[in-house]
Amino acid sequence: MVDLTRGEIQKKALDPALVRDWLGGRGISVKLLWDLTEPGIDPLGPGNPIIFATGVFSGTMAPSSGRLSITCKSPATNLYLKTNVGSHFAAELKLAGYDLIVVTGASKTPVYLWIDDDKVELKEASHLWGLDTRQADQALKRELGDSQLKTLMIGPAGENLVKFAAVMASIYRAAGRGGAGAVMGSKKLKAIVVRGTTDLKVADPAAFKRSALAARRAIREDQYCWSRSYLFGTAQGILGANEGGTLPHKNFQDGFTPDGHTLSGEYVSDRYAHPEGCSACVFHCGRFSRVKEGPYKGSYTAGPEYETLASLGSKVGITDTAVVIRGNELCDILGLDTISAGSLVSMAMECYQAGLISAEEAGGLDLSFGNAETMLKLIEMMARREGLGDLLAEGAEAVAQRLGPEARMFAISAKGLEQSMVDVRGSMAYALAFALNPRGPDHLMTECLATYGYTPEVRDLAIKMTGTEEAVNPVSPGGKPAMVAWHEEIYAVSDCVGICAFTSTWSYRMSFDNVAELYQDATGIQVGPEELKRIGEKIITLERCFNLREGLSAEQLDILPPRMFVPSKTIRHGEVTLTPGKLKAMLEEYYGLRGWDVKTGRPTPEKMENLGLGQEAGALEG
Amino acid sequence: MRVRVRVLLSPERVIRNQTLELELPEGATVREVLGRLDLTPAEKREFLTPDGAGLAVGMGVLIDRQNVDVFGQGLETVLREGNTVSLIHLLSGG
Repeated sequence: MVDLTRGEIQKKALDPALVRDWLGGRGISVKLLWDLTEPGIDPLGPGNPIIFATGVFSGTMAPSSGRLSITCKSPATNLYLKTNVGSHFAAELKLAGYDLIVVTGASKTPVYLWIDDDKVELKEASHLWGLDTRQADQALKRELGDSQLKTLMIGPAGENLVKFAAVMASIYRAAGRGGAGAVMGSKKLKAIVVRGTTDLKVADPAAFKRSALAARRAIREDQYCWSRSYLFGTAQGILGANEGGTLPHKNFQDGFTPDGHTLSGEYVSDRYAHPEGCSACVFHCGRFSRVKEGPYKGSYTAGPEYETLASLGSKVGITDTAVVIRGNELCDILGLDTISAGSLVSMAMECYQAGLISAEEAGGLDLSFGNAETMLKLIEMMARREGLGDLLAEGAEAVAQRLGPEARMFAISAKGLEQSMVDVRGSMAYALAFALNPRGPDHLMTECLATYGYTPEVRDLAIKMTGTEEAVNPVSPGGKPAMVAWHEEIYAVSDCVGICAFTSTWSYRMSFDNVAELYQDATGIQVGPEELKRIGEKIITLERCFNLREGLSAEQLDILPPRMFVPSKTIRHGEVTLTPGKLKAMLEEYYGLRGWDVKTGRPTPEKMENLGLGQEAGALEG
Repeated sequence: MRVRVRVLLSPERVIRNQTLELELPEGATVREVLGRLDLTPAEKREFLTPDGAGLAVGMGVLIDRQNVDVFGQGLETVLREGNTVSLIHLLSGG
């Protein structure tokens, strides 16, 4: 526990009851967030805690167990936020002896938290304030005399309270979504630096090793998923999305980018990038790219991932990979979420095209789609809140409010969060999942890839979890409520134990069964697959309750950006694939499956009691 | 009739953004398109099942951006003048 207002640090043993009921990581974090906050608090005020949580398997050889969860109330949405990041930070923190860090209050002057095994202290950071993440990382390593330290920090965007400021791990890996970087900025917390050198013990080392190796082997044996990820990273999906007409193009006006092959994983990996992995990773889907010639020669950064290639590429009408890499680099060192940053740029471009932003408001920038220099300039202006960038830094819906109702269609955003680069008009599972996502429309709380049935095993699983072959017809609503519920739960459990969702969704080789086995080997606590699933459901329910406690109704929460109800000419030849009525029907079926009130979308008191949330139900109703 | 074929299988073909124009007889199917391509043995192994009857794991054929599965005839789907056939790895999304 770190109280920044008082400058006090307190170490506490993790309550065994909390572990029993909420597993770890995301589960414990949502429970703490619920307990530590009152509805209506200012996300950028000292009353908003921010929780950095390792997973149960962090620091071990469990497959792809390098994920860290960060939880707080989001300044972008004023709702619940869990954001998650890879790298080696979570493992290092666990090896220093800590499961999670709860930061409360706010410092008057910039500080950083230095964790050197059992020594923990707050240190003055005025000399780091204003530095980008690359500069600050280097300065901290020099200052502390160790080039192997692991850093988690904000850039100028977080300091300037940009609503989509990211928290950056080891400079380049982003906990990007929802503005957790601005929460750190509001607390004047520039960085957390950790060195962990202790031994990590598991309950049954021999059994754990057996289970972990078996799980790693299972992932590697899935030649299709594993090799595509390793060879081409997440961008392996770019070509398929573009050919299928669902790769966002010019602010989701349609889904096909001419010459979009230059954004593909195949092209990027051939010309610019090599693979990189997070702690204990099996996939190594991460990339590290360098531009070796041309006007952007010298740019280097981790990525670009699928999301960034679409957000800073096709979505703004750019196909020059080097520009995307430079934009990615700027976002990383300035501390911006690439998804939202690209969304604000493309929105500004469409508003300009429609005459909603004048040349004078554009401050001399040519905001035409495809203008690379404008995009790069706007990224810097947003991070530093300069000129038009100051307005864009407030997020797409705030921009629309300022520019008028016509601009709302150009804000590809719901609940205050810009949508990630999946065109949900082509996939009803994603449409439903995005609408329900408590932090806003993206795929990083529920990744329903099974709907594409890309291997026989994945197809069978999709049909098994839903009971219908319609599950693998992406544009049919059939089976999608059950599919979303299943994926929400496995994702929540993955976040609790700290494994990458690629193991439990994309490859589907980690599931409730082998996670339960590993959990028991690691902790000595017996938890069956059904109990894990139930804890997943409990987490989803409490996250829902957090948002309901803020005073919002299901009609306000379970929404999509307006443009998602306008047909895309590249999806099914412009057919209407998604309507508000179709979404409502899927939502009602989902509420029913969850045991929530079908009309109000609120978990019933009986359901909450069944999940062990009786106390929370009382607080919600009271 | 003429159809466009986008062969986006191997990285080399993707980087070339390989797009061909083929002249085919009326009633030609996707399978006939495959027979007209210079797929290497390795590409055939990657793209088709061992007996050549269907698509291998993870592979897809799109006709004018729609998966051939939608038409229910797989590789026997009959093409029409002006169709664009894309041969791709199936998965899309972020």
